[in-house]
Amino acid sequence: MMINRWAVATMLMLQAACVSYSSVDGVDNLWREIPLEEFRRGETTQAEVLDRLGPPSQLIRLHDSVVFYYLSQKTQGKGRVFLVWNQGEQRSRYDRAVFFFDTGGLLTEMAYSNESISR
Amino acid sequence: MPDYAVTTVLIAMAVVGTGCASLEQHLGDPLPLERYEQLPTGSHYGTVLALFGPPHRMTALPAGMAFQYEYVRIDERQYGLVLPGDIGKWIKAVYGTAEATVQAVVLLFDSDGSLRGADSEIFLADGGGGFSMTLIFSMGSLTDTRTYEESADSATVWGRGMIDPLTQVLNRDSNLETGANGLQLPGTPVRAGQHSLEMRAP
Repeated sequence: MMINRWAVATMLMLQAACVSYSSVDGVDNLWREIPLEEFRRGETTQAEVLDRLGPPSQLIRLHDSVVFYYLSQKTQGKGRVFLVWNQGEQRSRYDRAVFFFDTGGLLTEMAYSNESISR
Repeated sequence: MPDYAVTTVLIAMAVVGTGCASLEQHLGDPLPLERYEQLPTGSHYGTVLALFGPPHRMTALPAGMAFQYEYVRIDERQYGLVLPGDIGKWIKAVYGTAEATVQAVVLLFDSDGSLRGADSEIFLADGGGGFSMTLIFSMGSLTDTRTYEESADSATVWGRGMIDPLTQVLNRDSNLETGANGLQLPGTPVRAGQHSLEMRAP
């Protein structure tokens, strides 16, 4: 019968499985709870940043000075598994904070990324 | 539509279409490339940080430093075919290809932190292909796109370097991931240039 054939066709299209997953890597993005203005150029020390944000993801040597680089990565994915067509999408976001210090260990520049991960 | 036409469509969908897939992967957010190009030479790196945030990579240079911002999108297409036979109907043969779209911006600063030059680039790269026999209700990548995926998250896996193969450990003084020796774009081949001493598989 015609109706049965269309029913089978519809089932083939709709008989599907959905997948959803997410993961977080890197340090806890504590900086999102602290306004950037609370870190002051020429006053904030390395010890204060470490105390408030914990160990950085990377310590980068720039000649005589040092950079604290914090990174948190969140990956989210979703997929639709049909009989005749599968579709998947995965997005990774990188929440970053960076702090530049002079040779005396005082803050010279800092920034948060425009890309952020909600806490 | 006549019965035979519906039947034909169903058979064609089941045999030819089964196992086709589209996998899309975004690493980061797309870059506002036109805004980078508007940066005047001489801008302080603090201005760059305020506008664009921390770079994805940075490195010291003999007389200054460099920032690199990047975004990668990987599109994988899979084409499948159901195999004949009682067992075959639960197995699909799949061929997949991938293409990577890379956006990258490099900014060079002098020792005073003033911008000396900047340039942006968008390029397409072939992510390779792969073939697989797999169960009909399954979906996964068949291509090797590690060189693009590893780029942005290198900061989270630096400790893994301690167990790298010996040739890579011996070349660590020239490593381009540490921020002390330079930068490289996502997907850069390892058989030439700074990584060639590490004798990695292509």
